Amino acid sequence: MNYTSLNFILFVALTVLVYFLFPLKKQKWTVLLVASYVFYLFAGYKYVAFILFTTVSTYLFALWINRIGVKSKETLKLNKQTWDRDKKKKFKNSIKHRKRLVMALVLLVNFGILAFLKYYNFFAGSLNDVMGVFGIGFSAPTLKLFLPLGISFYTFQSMGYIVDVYREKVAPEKNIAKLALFVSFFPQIIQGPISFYDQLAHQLYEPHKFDFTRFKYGMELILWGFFKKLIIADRAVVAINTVTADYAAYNGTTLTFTILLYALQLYADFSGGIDISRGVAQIFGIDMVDNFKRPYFAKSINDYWRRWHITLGAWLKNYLFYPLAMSNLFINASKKMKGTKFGSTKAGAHIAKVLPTSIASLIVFLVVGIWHGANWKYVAFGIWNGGIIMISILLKPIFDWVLAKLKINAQSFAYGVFQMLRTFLVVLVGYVFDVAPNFAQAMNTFKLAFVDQSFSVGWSQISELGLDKFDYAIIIFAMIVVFVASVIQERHSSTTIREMLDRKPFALRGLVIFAGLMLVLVFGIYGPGYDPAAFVYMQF
Amino acid sequence: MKKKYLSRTIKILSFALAAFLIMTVTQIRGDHNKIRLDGFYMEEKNSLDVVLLGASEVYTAFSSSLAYDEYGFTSYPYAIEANYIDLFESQIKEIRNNQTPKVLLIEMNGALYDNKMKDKDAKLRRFTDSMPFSQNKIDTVNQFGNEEDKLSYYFPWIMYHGSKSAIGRFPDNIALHLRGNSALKGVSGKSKSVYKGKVIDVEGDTSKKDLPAETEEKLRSFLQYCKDNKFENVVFAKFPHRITKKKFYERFQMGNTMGDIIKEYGFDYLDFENNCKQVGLDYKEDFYNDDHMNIYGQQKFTKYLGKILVDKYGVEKSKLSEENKARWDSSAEYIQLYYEYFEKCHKEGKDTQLYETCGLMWELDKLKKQKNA
Repeated sequence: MNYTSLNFILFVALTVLVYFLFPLKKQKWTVLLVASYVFYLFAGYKYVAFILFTTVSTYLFALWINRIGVKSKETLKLNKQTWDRDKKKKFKNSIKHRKRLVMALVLLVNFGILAFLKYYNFFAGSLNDVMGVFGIGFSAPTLKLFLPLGISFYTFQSMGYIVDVYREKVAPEKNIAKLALFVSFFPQIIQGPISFYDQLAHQLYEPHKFDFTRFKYGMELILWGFFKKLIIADRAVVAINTVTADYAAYNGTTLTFTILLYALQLYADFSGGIDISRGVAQIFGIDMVDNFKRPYFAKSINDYWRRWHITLGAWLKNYLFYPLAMSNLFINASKKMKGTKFGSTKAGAHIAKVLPTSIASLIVFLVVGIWHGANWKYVAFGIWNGGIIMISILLKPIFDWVLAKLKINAQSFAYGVFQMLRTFLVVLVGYVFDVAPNFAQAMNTFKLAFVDQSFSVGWSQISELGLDKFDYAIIIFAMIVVFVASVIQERHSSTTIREMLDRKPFALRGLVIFAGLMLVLVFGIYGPGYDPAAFVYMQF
Repeated sequence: MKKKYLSRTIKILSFALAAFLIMTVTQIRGDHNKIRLDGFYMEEKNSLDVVLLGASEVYTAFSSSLAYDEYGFTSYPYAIEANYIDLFESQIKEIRNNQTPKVLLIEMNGALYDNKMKDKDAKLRRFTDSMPFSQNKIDTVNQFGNEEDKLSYYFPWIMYHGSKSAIGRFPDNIALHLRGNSALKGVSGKSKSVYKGKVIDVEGDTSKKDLPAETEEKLRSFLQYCKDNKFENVVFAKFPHRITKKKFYERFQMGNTMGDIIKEYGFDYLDFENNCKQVGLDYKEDFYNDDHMNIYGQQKFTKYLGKILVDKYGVEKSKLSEENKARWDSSAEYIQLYYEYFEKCHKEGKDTQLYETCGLMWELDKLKKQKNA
């Protein structure tokens, strides 16, 4: 059931009706649970076994981890008088070790399933290639594997909960049905956002009363999501799919244009989908965290990743970056470097200081790359982004020195625009790996972008990508609308456009909303004859 | 509190209703098929003496307004581009639900189309887009429509939204509905005469070719339906075509076979294809392509067929209500202006397909004013 299908709209309408009319106030969350599993069943009954396994294992292991902690505290309390400090420390360490072991086990099993389903064939293929190079007659079989809907999202979300229980940041959920709802909540199952337990769970279980303002804001957010998804993303994807279907046939100009179009399509698709998810949740009285903060206004690649797919970034920061950067291995390496002759120089001291964070960043982005797909091009995507961040951290003093020497005011508007364009260019380079069918083709695209620019050939190719002038005019118009809304939102970050609109007279408010609705209905890509693109991030 | 919720509900419903109405009115497939069929449903109930069912041959070859002007009977082409035999049964139901014609003339070229024809769905929609909601529509959609897109047959804007024809041509349809009836009675035409290749003379040719099994099966099934329902007023026909290619000659021969099968079921079959000379048609001057007559052929054929309907089938001058008579008289006036306008365009070297659009009606009204001045 696609978020832009009529079935989904009817499904949400019915769920909203049942939820707010449900007589047992304290049990309202069960409506959401049933709806989430019905939604999941629509995707295919065979997928349910996977989400159930994750739910049950998460539930049991979280209780187990908690039980180890509780029991250890009881033991400590009992032996408070008899045990000396060393024994207490030893005991605490052994408990920590046990907890970590249990946590590792559940993480391994769940991430193992995800990795197997998503990456087995990629690794088998790569292994066979390597064996072939060395002339070894070994061939790992490839398997017909299917990827359960939203497996990355619910695995990340539930494993985040496990780590939070381990860290004693949250208490484990004792009701397995409630945890099942946290894992499967239908507005976020397709493409996130990846929520933290302490932020989302209590909202899911609270009985929410119907609130017209929330309903209105939710509907407006859904409409905005449809605007981006149906008018821009599903229109632009036609041209992008035409190019990717026969990538080698296009010249540098067309490929450059396609990458630019992809930047727009990806943002409209992903952020549009997230707006629909958040809008639906908001109607139920549930606030899900935003996943985007106008990423193309970012002034550095670091800033971009704080604005793009925010929840994945936050998850990785919490559960991968910090544990890595704060690990003994990294801290000791940093200390060691500081103690060397090089470490005593100004540059050396800086590098020793930022080494843990820069290497951790590279590793995190390698994971981000691999998370995006089982292909070497995604590994390159991760290395590109992580590498740029690593270099920018390591070379920061040099950049600052250049700025000072050139007497550039880093706070000026012009420099800000330059930073945005520079960052956008770096992002576009990353997108080449996304769009190109493989790593070799991606590298060829960079070459063609420089040596095969012909506007006349490009123009004739662009006009045959399945979109006509009318379509491009609609895309440009919609892009301007999104840009203006983004500028307004960027300038007034403390409030939302919906709140701003709410303060306007009814006639103006009504006109804006009605115009938005009509634009979606008239110019949206839906209905027969079209093949509406699935959400890009649905495949994750 | 209740008042507040009521007011909000009314506002939301008003928004939804307004959006729905705008989409329904503006996001349509705007073309001559839509105008013609919508026009049919606007005719006064049981006021038509003759209804002609078929494909493009019908509305390019026969002008109801001209026939009225000449013989005084009312008629209407229930015809759409590339109309195929599968849909005839549903279309007869539509006709009979609205009219009780003395003669229901069915042009049978649609029975000979290739069974593997492309874009069948688009052809079906030319019919369903104008059908009012009824059990017949439900049955038609269930039988022929795409399973996954069923809703779009009832709400065509789901299909046509945002298309250039929807955005550019909806005023034609609005104008038709504002007029309250079709001024040109669904006619469409071109003035151009195109003649390429060598015409195969089929005058008096009675040679036959077997129909493909599936085609014959469909034909017999349809004829059986007409027979079982005792449609005594049904007359079958094959309108004139110009045959220049072997493929079309074979189709002509199949037409002869089809004529025999039709007669087998006890129905009349008027074959105009092998007696074009009798009609007075000139292959060089009266066709704009091999399958379709131009407006000169249209005028000749309308008069010829009209005479047959009067002489052979006893179709008489209509007895119409005053209001309806005024409409038909006006239509007769418009059709003369239509032909005059064609002449004018032809002289200016402009040659396009003309049907009841806002632009054409504006030109015809201008011409009318000039004449009256």
